[in-house]
Amino acid sequence: MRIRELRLTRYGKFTDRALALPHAHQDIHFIVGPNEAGKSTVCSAIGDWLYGIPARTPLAFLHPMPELRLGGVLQAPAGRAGATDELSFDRTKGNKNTLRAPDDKPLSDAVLQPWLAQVREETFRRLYALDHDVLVEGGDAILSASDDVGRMLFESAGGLQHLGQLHAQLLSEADTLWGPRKSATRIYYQAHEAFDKANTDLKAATLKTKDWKALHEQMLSTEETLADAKQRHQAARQQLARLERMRRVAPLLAKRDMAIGALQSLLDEGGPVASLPGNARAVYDQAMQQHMLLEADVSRLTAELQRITTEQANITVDQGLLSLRTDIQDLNERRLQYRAHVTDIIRRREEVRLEWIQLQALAKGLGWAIETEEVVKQRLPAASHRARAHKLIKEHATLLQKQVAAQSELKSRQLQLQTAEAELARIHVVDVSPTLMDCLDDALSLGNQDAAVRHATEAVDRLQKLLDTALDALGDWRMEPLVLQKQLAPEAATVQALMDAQRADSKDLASHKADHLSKQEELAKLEAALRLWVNRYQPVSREQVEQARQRRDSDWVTIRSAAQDIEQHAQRFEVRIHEADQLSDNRLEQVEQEAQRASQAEQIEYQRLEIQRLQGRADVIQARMDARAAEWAVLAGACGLPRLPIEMGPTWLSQRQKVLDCVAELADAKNISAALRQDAERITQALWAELQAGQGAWPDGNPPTLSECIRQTKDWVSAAQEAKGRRMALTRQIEADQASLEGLKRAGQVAQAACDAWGTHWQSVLLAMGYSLDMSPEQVEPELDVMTQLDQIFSRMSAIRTERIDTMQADLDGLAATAQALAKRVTPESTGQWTGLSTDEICLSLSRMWNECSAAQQHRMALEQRALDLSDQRDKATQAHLAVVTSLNHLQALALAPDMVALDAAITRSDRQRDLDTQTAELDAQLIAHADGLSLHALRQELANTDPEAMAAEVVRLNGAVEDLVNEISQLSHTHGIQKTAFDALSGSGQGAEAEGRRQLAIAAMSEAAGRYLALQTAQMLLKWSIERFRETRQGPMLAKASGMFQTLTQGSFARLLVDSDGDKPRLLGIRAEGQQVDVKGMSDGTRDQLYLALRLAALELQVDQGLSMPLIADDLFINFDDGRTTAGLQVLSELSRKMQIVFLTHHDHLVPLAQKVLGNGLNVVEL
Amino acid sequence: MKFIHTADIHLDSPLRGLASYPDAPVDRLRTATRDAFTNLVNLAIDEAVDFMVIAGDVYDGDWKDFNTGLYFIKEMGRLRRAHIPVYLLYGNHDADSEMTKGLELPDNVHVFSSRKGETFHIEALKVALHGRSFKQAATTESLLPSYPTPVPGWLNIGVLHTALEGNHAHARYAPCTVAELQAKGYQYWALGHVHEHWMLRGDTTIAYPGNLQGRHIRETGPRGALLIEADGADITSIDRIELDVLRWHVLEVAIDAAQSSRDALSLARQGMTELLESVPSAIPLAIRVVFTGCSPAHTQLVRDDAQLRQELIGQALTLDAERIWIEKVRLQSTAPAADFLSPQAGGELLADLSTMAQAAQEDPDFLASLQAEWRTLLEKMPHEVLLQSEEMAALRQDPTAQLTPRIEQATALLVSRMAQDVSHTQPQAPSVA
Repeated sequence: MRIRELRLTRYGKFTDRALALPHAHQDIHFIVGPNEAGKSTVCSAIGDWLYGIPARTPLAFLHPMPELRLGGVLQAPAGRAGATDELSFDRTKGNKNTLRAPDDKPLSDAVLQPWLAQVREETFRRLYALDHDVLVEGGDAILSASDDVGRMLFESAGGLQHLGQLHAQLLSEADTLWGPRKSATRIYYQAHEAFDKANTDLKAATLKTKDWKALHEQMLSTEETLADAKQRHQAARQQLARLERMRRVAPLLAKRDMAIGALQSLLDEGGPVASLPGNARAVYDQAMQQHMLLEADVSRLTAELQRITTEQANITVDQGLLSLRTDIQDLNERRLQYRAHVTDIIRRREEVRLEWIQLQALAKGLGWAIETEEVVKQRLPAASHRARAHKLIKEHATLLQKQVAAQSELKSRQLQLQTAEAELARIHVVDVSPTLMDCLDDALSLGNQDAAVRHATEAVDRLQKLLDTALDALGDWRMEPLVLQKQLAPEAATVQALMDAQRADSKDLASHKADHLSKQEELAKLEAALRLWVNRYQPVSREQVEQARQRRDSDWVTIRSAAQDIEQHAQRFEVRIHEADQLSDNRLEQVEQEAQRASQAEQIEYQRLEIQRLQGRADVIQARMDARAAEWAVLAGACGLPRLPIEMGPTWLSQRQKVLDCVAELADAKNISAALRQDAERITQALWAELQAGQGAWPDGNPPTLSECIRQTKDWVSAAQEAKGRRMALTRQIEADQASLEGLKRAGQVAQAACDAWGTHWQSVLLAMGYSLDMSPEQVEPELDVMTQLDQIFSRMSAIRTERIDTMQADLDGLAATAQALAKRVTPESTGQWTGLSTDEICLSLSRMWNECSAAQQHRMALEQRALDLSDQRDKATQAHLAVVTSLNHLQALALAPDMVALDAAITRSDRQRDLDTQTAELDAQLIAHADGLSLHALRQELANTDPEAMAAEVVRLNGAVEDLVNEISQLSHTHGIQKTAFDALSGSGQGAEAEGRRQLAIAAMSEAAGRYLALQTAQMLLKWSIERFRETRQGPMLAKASGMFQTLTQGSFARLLVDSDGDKPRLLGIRAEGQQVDVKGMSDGTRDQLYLALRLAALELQVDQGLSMPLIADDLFINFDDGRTTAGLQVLSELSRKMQIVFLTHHDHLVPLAQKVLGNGLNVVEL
Repeated sequence: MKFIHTADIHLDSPLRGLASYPDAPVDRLRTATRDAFTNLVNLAIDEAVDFMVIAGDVYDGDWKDFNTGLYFIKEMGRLRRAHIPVYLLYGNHDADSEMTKGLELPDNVHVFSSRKGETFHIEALKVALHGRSFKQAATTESLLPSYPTPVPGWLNIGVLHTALEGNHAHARYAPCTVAELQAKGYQYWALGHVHEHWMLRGDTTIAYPGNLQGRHIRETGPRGALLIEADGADITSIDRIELDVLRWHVLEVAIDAAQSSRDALSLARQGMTELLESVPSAIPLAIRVVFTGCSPAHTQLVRDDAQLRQELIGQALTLDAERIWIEKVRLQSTAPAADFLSPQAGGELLADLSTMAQAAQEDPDFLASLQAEWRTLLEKMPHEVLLQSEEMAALRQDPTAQLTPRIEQATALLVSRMAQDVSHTQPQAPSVA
């Protein structure tokens, strides 16, 4: 589609301005004008013309909004088949029918649709109406691939992105296997570590043959040395043993010889020796020792006994004093018990004195004489009088109170009676008539009459309105309700059925017509196609060939029949022959085309038949519909409703029914309202008459409303009833008051009599107590209290004197008498020594004397016991001495010893012989033990051949040698043990083999990791290489186009565009001629504009190639272009304008000559 | 009368090429060759054989740990206590080994001299054993001429370590031919050196028992020794007794019928199950799984070899963790040519990628950078790994020759990975307003 002409009839600043944009080979048009000339207006006018003027437009500043109008002519692109070539239309401002034909007839929007080829307004303004801002915005959208064009741009990168991801994946996989840097996370190096470890283990576990041999030989040599050392050790030990034996035996032999010699000399000296028991010496010595000890004991005990007897004779004891022990102890205890009495008596007397002083003070307060206790006691009235006075004082208050209460009660009752009587006199009573009550009941039974009447009236109004509305809805066919009621209306169902049938037919008819139309269009297309076919291929039909042959044959007949004119006809006949042959040949050559043509012709024929069939069916339906319309007209006429369309039939009928319903309801409501009003009127009149007939002061004239009547009646009745009740209550109260008044008067008199009796009693008491008769109870009462206190003090003083002081004095006196009596019993002869002594001193002396006498008695008894014990001990010692002497008798007999001295010598000889025998036996045993089996003789022989000094030196030497040998053997054994352990450990262990096994595992693992790494790495590198090639060779059509345009626009500064798909999402790069990659952000403003323009134009060109052509409106797109690039831009536009219309708006005049240079002088320049 | 014929024991020679993984039966197999030899000695004692013949290679030539020799002596000691004499011939590996000279063997072990052919006579059994040990490893001349003439009427056993008639798999040591052996007039030739069991019956029986324990994937199948019974000078029966403690197998899985990697793995599992059933239950298996055939599943298998290995290991663990050790997984299968290039699978891009990868082979800069990358890895790798891994060795020897196969391998990997990606995310054609 292109725009041939744009008319700015009333739009912005323009009035009736037309811009002609005639078609040319290069369909580019320059619209030039300075600022404010209206370029932007033209730009927006094209959009508004095509898509409608928006509701709010800033362009109604000259012409009023409703009068805005645009117009123009659209033109189909050259060669577009099957469409009208041009469309001229206007656009007005408004809500509907804005599309107008040049004669201002409204046009359907559908007329314009095919021209716009489904390009929506938003799309048009975004893609085809470009100013600089739209261009930049659209460019950004493309680069972020956020719109379809963007996706198309990066389409080719889709695959590359997959490749990029795969490449990253391969790299990462390869990296886990191997890398030049050692890393514990890489599988190869993990295996390598195991390999190193296994290598170390293998080395450690490997036993080399020469090492084994060396170890073996070393061990054998050590074993040999060890055996030799052991042998030498053995020899030295043997030698040493012999010398040791000799050293042990020599002294034993010598000792033995000496013992035997001593025994012999003993016998020689004293003859035969008596053999006494071995313990003879011990028995003898012990007996002698005991003998001496016992003799000493006896003499010591005898002396001691004599001394005690003497001492005992010197002690005397007073038995009389001893017998008084109980009396003296008793006396002493009493003395201790009464020791505090003296001070206590003094303290009690002080207490009595203090009480007396207090008593004096109190008595003085009463005005009494206070010289002695007796004086005070006499003045104190008797207790009985004081008690009576107390009682009277108490009664006095009660009596007074009773008297006052009786009087006040009487007075108040009298006052109450007077008040009640006055009120009774004031009350006025009226009676209510029963008729009035009946009337009131009637009125109340009606309820809220006013509200009921109001509701009824409202209902009538509402129904009246509904009726009016329903009547209005009858429209042109309105009738009065009475007429409607009488009308004979058709059944609603009948009408509905009629209408449904009519609608169904109408729909059928429309569909048939539509089919008819499409078939006709189809027919037209087929005919056109056939024409085209025939024109293009010119197929030859059989009929044509037949006709040509007939013409040829008829000419031949002509020639044959007129041979003389052969010259004349031959030429034409030849032409005929040629023509027929040519046609025949053509037919043969184009038999396929002819078949196609025939087939198309058949299709056309078929279409025609189909159209006829559709027309026939449509006619039938139309006839049916007409008949039904006539039927309806009859029905409607019968009802008096001529011209009522059938479609309105059911609606009108239902509306009619609504009217009739309303009428009935309205009548009912009116009846109810009237009845309510009548009832109210009747009852009001009755009530009012009754009220006036009663005693109330009611105004004459018409009664008030019913509710007011009811209220007033109710008030009046309740007031009357209240007065009646009050009078009855007052009457009862007055009667009760009068009855109680007499009782009250009597009570007053009784109280007065009691008071008088009390006065008489009081005076008698005052007299008895010594008071004057005018003393009141209030005066006497405090003095009575003081007297009670005096009484108490007297009783306390008396108690201290009798109970405490007198008792203690009696105790002390008793004690003194007892002491004197006891003293006389102790010393009857010299009583004078006690005179002048206090009771305490007497007691203490008696006690001391008794203690001394008791001690002397005890000492004498102890001495007696001791003398008895000593005598007993001396007897026992004497007996023991005798026993000792007897015990030695049997030894004396054995030794044939006449006395103790001879026994002693015999025992000594016997012991000596026994010692020597024992010594000899022991030495023999030792010699046997140390002789190593040699006889005494052999031992003596051995010793005889050896020099004792040399032997000692030899022993020292041999001991040293043995020690050295032991050390040597120990060291050798140790060495051998180590060597043996080490050697035994070499038992054919499989550790080396195991380490080798692990080494092989590691090698296999490394080999596998390396193999996989190589495969992945090779694949990775191959892929990387391929991706680079892809980038260079595989570009999408849009990228290819944009790339070329960008190169032109930048005048070769950039060689091409490249989509980089390495990252998360592909991005666009500009590649400079020298290969440098430039990101879009790194481009200058101008270059970026050129990139955006290239992208946009490439997208548009692709769309043109796909058959979609709309004019491009370019508004000053080159603002950031220098002259060189502007020229390049014009060149690009020039190329594009061969395929689509371009309207270029600019305010730069100087662009015009530049454009004319690039685009030729035929350029259409419109100046605003 | 019965005796055992064994050879090529290679004591303490490690198992090679097994990469360990969690739950692999590592501990059971560390001393496999020893365990197999212990089995052999147990067999001799249990069967109460009259003697044992070892036809060379008790040790691994370059194995230095003398403990191996001590272990051998201990086992010989057991035979001595059971009164079983051993006739030991040193092969090329033994000649290399230091242990041969250092060890003092028990008196029941009779070693054939290396200076000349020697005969041991067992009077009681009327058996004569003839043999000559290797003096040095590289014994390339025939030792046969020095073998003594047979003892008439006796059972003559020739013991020889040889690569019979140029067995190419083994070094050509002490070569001789069957005819030469037959001509010698012995009743039985107890041979060693060739690790595969082989036997020729006839007037002269010639036999290789094979080695006692397979040590890598080239020594597959059961391994063991021969138990021979004779009646006078006649060999009456020869039984092959399996003594190995781990068995190597190459499991070929043909995936032609598989539609997906699941199917292929299922086939592998089936293969492993059958293998387990066919082998005595005590013996663990080291299995190399080789996928062959042509199937769409190939593309999925090639996608991630580490994952494939893990999945097979997972299957092995579930089948019998104690018995299966996945040695390696090899993909020798192929994919139907057009499979992944269908438009549904984003074929255009894949086709481009294949083409592009093809083109990479003609970019000298790329090839140079690839080789440099390989060199970096190879230079950092221990010598042992280079010796063990065939692919590393090949890469080091002639990297240029590896370029094409390696790039093809990488292309297959890329295409399969890419096919997975694009089939997951179908590109959407943009619509234009």
